[in-house]
Amino acid sequence: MIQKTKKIIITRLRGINLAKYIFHTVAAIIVYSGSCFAQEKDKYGFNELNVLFHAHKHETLKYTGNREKPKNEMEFLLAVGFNFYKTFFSSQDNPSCVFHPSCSSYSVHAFQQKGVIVGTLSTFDRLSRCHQFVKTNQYFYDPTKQRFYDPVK
Amino acid sequence: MKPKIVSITIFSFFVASFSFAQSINDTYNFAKQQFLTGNYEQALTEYQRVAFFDSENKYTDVYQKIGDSFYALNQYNQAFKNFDIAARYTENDSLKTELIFKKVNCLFKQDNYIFALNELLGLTENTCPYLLNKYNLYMAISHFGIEEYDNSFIYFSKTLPENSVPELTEIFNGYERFRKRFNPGKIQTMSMIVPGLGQMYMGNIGSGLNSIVLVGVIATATIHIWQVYGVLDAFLSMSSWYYRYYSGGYRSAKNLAAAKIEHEKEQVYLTVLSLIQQNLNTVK
Repeated sequence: MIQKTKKIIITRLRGINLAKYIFHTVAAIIVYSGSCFAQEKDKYGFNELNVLFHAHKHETLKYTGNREKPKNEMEFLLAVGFNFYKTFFSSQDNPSCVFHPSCSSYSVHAFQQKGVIVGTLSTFDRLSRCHQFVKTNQYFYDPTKQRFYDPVK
Repeated sequence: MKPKIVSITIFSFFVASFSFAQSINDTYNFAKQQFLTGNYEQALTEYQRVAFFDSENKYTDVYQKIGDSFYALNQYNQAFKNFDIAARYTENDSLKTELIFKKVNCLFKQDNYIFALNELLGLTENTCPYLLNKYNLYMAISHFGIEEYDNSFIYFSKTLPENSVPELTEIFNGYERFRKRFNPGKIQTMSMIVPGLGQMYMGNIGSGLNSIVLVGVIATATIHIWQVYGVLDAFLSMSSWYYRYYSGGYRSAKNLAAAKIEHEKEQVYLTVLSLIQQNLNTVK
């Protein structure tokens, strides 16, 4: 009785392995043949060429909070003020901020993370540091943004 | 105890005689399989292993495969280097040309069209229609990238049948008119003369009004301070603000014009590419 059960288990296990093996082989053949067909069809590399010269869309930075709707009136005022400044003033201004994120973004992050009082103090601290005589050895320079990296700590 | 040790030793030798290490061929096949299933990092590691242990240079295409893996992982500098090694190894001219096209593709991905052109100019003339078409196409794209549109047109037209060339001419002429119309220098000058005029000319009425209102408010405030407190006070208090938003306005107009041209360039390129894609098989 025990021997019979053992035999059944072994054949079942073998069956599973065989099925798995066949499945993997068939899948590999399909993938390989598909890739060969794709290569033959796109021998000029149009799939790669089609993504060149992609124009970057410049969009004005908008306020992003932790949730969809503002938490309270203060957050609503902060969001409106930030969006108004970014749309009507910052868009007509020279890129003069030496830091990344910019002073306005830094201010929003400071208010979000540290509250009204510490956020206000952090904003003034940042504004006082943002000038052409910035201490370069104190900040990490981000070559992609061409600005010094100074997030809210 | 002793018979146990003896039996274990004998059994170990017995097993060792049957066991074998993974051969280079197995590693190569495994890497190939990993690449096909999209596991490029694993494929890259395995291909690099093959390149390291293949002392007889049996797997001549392994550097190409390494290059393909790097390319799939968007590491175009490394991919370029490996395609370069592969091109040096190969003796087949057609394969060498294909590898140079792969190198060019890496440079395209990095927007380095001038170096891509340099690579293509090093190619010897090929008589195979497929390679010739591909050469013309890549030359056209390189010239398009460095904004030499006349040369780009010549090479693009070589990849098209004669009846499609007028359509291509029309596309290029339209693009030239567009570039002249929205020339960033011209737009900047317009906004320097009247703040916001350049933006409005481009159809960006909101930004134009924004600029003129902002500069107008600062100018009005300056005149008011001048009349109330004097010229020096007006100059000291308002000049920096005026400079900031006046120069910011015309620079913003220039950037908007450049972005508009960039967007149009993408559209023109896609239109031309689609035209070529439709007609490429009909070219001799």
